[in-house]
Amino acid sequence: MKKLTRFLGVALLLASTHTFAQEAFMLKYNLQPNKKYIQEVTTTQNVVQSMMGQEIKADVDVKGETEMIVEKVETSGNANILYTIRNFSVRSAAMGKDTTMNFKDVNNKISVTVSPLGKNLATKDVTEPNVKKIPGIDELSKNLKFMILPGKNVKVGEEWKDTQIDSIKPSVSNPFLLISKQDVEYKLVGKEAKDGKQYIKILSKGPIMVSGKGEQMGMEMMLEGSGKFEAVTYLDSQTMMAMYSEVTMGNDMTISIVGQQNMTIPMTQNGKTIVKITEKK
Amino acid sequence: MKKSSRVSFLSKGLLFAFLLVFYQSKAQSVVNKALQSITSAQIKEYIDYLASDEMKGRATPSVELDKAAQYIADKFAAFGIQKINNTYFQEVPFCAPDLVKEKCSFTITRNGQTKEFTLKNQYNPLFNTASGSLNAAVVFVGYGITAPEYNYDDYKNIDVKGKIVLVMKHEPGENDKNSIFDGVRNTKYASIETKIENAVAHGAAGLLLVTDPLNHYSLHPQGYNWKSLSSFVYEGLNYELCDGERKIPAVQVGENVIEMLLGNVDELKKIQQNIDKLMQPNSFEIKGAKVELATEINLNSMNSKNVVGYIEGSDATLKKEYIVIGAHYDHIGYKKKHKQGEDYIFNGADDNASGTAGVIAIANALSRMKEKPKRSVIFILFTAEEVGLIGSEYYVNHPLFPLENTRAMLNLDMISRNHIDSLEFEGAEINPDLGKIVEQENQHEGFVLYKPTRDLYGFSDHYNFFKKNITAMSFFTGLHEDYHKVGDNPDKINAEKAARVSKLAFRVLWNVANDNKHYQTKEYKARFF
Repeated sequence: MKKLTRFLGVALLLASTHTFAQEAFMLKYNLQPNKKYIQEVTTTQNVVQSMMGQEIKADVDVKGETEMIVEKVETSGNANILYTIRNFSVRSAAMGKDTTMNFKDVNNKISVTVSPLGKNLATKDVTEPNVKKIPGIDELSKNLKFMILPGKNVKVGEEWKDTQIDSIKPSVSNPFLLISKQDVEYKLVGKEAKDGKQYIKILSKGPIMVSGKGEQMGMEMMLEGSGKFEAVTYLDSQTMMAMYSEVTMGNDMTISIVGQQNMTIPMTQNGKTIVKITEKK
Repeated sequence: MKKSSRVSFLSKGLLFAFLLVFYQSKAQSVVNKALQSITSAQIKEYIDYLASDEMKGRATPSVELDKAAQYIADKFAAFGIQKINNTYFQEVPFCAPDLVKEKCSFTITRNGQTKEFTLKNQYNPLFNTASGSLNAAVVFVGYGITAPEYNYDDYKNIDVKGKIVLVMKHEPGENDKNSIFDGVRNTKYASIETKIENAVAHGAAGLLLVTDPLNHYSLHPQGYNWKSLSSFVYEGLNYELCDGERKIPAVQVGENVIEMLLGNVDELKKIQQNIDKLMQPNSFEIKGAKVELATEINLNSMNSKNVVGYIEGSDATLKKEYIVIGAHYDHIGYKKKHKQGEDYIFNGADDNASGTAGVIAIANALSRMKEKPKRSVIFILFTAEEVGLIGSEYYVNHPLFPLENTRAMLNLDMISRNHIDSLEFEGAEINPDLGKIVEQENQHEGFVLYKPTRDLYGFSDHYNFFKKNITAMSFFTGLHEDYHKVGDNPDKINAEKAARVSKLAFRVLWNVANDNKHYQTKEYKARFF
């Protein structure tokens, strides 16, 4: 009798695990028109550069608040989202200088079209002509990205892979044409409560490879580096919007400069980005 | 005072004033006569030759650059400029160090297990590694710091002689304001060079560097952009003087190496946490671990030459003091891959055939003067400026005339473009007295002078003289759309402007070579960015 109970217990446990393992989610965006959200982004980055025999530290913290409106969802599932950048601040601390720039009521607007898998199909700056544009809005708009979803039913515990290649063109604040490659390994953890609400939790991690070429003040510069990242993301189970994500990344890079002053600058970069989205009723 | 003596005093005063005016006007006429020989036609002739297609952009090193050096030397000879050690050339040896990949290896044996690591992904030699082959025990020495002023020594009571040290990057309490180190900025002890020097001073045979895991997420061994390991590194990027000391094999290692030596990265993190918390070193030999490390560097030695000549000063005492006037004569060569019919030569007419022409013209003008300046004047046309100020760095490290007697350096770099009246001179802030002389002499030439801030220093050869605390400044007419492009052709230069800048440089040179002032030069501190 005792043996049987044990057997039943094990069987039940196996059955429940099996049932749990069978739970699957269609990981594809199901955005709802006219829904409004507030997106809060906090990024902290620190960099240590070895230069002229010194290890120079720099910290950059960025905080931003953006309103998102799902303007339209086409039958294909492609959705137009209007981002309105409300406020943001940038703090930089390096070489004894600690500066914070605050921008309030920025009202710069960017329209983004995303596919049901989260691919960015189009980005357009739609800031009204009478509104002053913030520096770096073009770069910022390129970073308004959705998490790439596999577009299929994924079982709890299942893993999948994706390779993402991004490029960033040189701009006023960035002299490099940067190409980054991430080989991402995803794992669907399952449903998990966070702040009193059930979400679908996804873990992701992988190596990062960065390379870049640029020119500044007549000097040619090249950059090569690699590192890794890991992230935890909580998706809304209806829309699959990433309502909370936390990404930790680190890179070891070397910048080489050739010109009147040849220099090789080894550099260690750490960063953490937290994105929190709340629905605006 | 008696009347007679008053008269005598008055007449002496008048005589003195008369003589002063006489000599000043004589000197002025001497200068003016010399200036007449600096002409736009002459400048144009020099630029047309140096920046011709035949010179193929005067890359360092190249046959064409040597040809340009010979052209300058021939001009010096024609003007009667004196040689040094019977030659106008100062050979400049330089290197393009690179790894010999196939001769690099890294293996760890620990507790009966042996693992070989892969170059670039798992270990990467540092920029100043020496060639060498080691088979030695490994000692973890924390941050590898010996800092008496902070009463901190990672090497205290640990023998590393003949062993390989494993060292973390940075320093204890890197982001802790209460650290015994700075806590906000890294001190000199955080630098890789200092860590290697300290390892050598303690007798270590090799060094493994790892990013400190507590404050840094990625431990990837980036090491250095060796040409043989990177498709990005192009010719010229890795040129350097061969003077740099490479004392021990030194490589950066990543997570896999730490796992083999310490079990896992978390273990290293714990050790670091304890060091940081207690501010007490925790150095130990890693029991049972042996590292076989081989690194080989090919220096790829090359040669180029500075062209140097001088005019001896006329004053018996002051002729032992020197004023340098210089410019770089190299440029960036030509595109090796190009389409048919495409302009592929970076002629470098403004950069810096113009400055070179200016120095040649000034040498000509000075050589024609019967009355020579009191101090000796050295003319230097530097090689390899475009690949890292190598020619001037070599000169200040191997001076042909004593640097301690070198009173000033004037540099001409790109002097023939932009508005006819615009002129920048770098160095006024750091050398206020020299700045005043330029402003004073500019009254004759009438340029609208622009003085850049200190942050812009370091863009030409005067930088290496600054570094040796020599009063130095550079004339520059500004960047333009053809800068470092194939369009920097002789037909775009303004020879008249280049001649005016050369005349101003001549006036300043004459003033500095003859005056009795002691120049105030502020301490130079490198502030590149």
